[in-house]
Amino acid sequence: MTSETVIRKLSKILRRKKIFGSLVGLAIAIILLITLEQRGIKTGSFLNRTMVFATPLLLGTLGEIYAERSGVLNLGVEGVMSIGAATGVVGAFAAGAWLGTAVGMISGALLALLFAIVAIHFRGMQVPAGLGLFMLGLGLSGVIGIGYVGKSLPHYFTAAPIPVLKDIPIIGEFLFQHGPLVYLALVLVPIMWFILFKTRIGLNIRTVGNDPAAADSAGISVFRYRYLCVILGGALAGLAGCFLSLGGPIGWVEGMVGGRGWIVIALTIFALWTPQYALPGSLLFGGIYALQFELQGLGFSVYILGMMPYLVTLIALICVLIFWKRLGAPSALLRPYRRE
Amino acid sequence: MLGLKMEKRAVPSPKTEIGVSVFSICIALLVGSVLIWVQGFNPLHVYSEMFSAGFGSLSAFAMTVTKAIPLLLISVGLTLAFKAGAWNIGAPGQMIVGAIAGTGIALFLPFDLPPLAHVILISITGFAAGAGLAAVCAFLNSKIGLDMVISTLMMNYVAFKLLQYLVFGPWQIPGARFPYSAEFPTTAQLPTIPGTRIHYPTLVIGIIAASLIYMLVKRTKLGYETRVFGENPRAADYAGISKFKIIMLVMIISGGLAGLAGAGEIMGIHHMLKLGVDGAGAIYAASYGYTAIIAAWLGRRSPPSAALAAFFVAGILVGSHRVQILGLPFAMVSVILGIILLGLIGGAILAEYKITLGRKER
Repeated sequence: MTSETVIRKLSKILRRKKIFGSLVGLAIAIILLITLEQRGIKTGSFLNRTMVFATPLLLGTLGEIYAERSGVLNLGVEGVMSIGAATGVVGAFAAGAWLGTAVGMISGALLALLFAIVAIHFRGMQVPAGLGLFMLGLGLSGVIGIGYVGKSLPHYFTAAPIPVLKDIPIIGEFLFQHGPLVYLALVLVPIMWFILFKTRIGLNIRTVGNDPAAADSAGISVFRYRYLCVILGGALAGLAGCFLSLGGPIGWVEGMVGGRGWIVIALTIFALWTPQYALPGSLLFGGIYALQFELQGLGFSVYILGMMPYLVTLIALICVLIFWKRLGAPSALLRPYRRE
Repeated sequence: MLGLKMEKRAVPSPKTEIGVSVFSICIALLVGSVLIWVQGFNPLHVYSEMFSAGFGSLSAFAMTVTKAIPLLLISVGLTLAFKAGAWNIGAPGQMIVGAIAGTGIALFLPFDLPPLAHVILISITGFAAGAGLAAVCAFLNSKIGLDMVISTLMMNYVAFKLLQYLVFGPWQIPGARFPYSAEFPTTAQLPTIPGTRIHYPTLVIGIIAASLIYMLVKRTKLGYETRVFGENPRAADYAGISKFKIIMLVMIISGGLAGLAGAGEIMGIHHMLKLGVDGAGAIYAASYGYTAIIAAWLGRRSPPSAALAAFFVAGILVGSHRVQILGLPFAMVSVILGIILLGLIGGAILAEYKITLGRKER
């Protein structure tokens, strides 16, 4: 094989944007980790923190991907995460962390159901309805959580390292020394990818989101799939909220979701509406949060660092939009369905 | 058999639309009263307290008008943006950068200006800053298709962090404990109606802005194009209406008015830059920029009724502050406003039908 063919093959691979993009991302990540290592920040603990910050984003994004794939944009994720966090704490005080999580997920699902009724049955405009949900969720969580501000949790999720695997250098610390919800989020990625792209149900969801009229004439119930997807999205956003409030002893703090719900909306686009890209996307933003944490220790302004996740969101989306001309958004997104 | 008959209307009925507005307010108050009752309070007592705090006396009325000023400016701008289908959710951020830029002019101008010129310069700077921030989002939307909801929202957080940075950092008065900037010179302060905090020049500008936008939408070619674009972007494209022009225009106007509202707040109320400049208490969804969205929608996206709605929403905000003293969380206001918005959106479908009581055909 001549060097020319090697170069040609290599450039052919590089022209495939997804591979090229991930290579660039990986290179930047490795350079970053080496620089941090030189500054005395251990790669293992940095990656560990990245995973912790990434988990709520991942859970929320997986849910939102399903909702949007079925054609419904739920902008209220911030509010739903908030209500999940607050009710999760209430549940945890009453009956422990696991039951708290169940309560958080159920209340997230119920709030999403309210949105679904407005957006699907009443054919309301999804953007303002989502904003209403955001305000309602934020307000309700403030009302529910008022008695729990500053109270330490009696039960919360502690790290449950996986035997053997946890001892692999770096990787072990990165992936296998976490609380149970982190493992759950990681396991959900392949499951939700499989359901969405390899099963009948997934095909139906995508059809409902792309061409509801065709789906309807094929005998698929558009409303049922949309309701299920939006409710699933709400439950996962509630779970993400629970991870935030029950992942440590601190419990409920007003405004603890802190814009993560909006980053989830952006991540859904960044992941091109696919569960498998939600993982690297969430890790990128988890890394930004973790970096923010580390740089704080090096004397940078907390407030300037606080802009980072939001600015990076914008930059990341701009890059995606410039490099991918066709994102592949569900065609019927934002369009309520009615039978003619 | 007697039942409800539904017929599709060609044009949504304005009467039903007002009915839907009233209906969603009622639903919100009903859900609110359940929440109040659950917390061990008497809903009727709480609501009467709220009402008297917002509208009950002349001084209460003045408070409400004071809070209505920024809401009026922002919501009137938003009616235009929403008419064009431009989802400007970035009013809180645009308001904050308006206040920041205005403070820069108020405090750090190397030369002295006469009072009127100073105030005018601050207002223009505030408008320009808000408009600039919105224009960036509009540009990214029309050139590369970046979703405007996301870009304007991200800017809100960036602007808020910038505000925090300034008032906790370089602009904080040396030695002071509170996150405040230095107080403005008197040349940069707006006059108020004696005995109240109503900075009437901003109020007048708000009313003028409302009438101008009303005229723009109803009477001009540009307004017509905006409406066509908002209702059917594809038809607008065929008609040769430039998307870039419309989006830029409505975002610059709505962002600029939000920036102006920020400048008005610092000149008229605070006389300094501080954290509460966006009107948010503990609940950031209760800031002027977000609540103005509700006013715009409650006013059915038309400037005159949005102005009325802004006044009503301001009353709720004032009332909620009073309710806090009774021991209820301020977050209640966000619940009530959120339900109003959901009710408005969900109820919009009713205006599309003619509903009559009649004999059902079998």
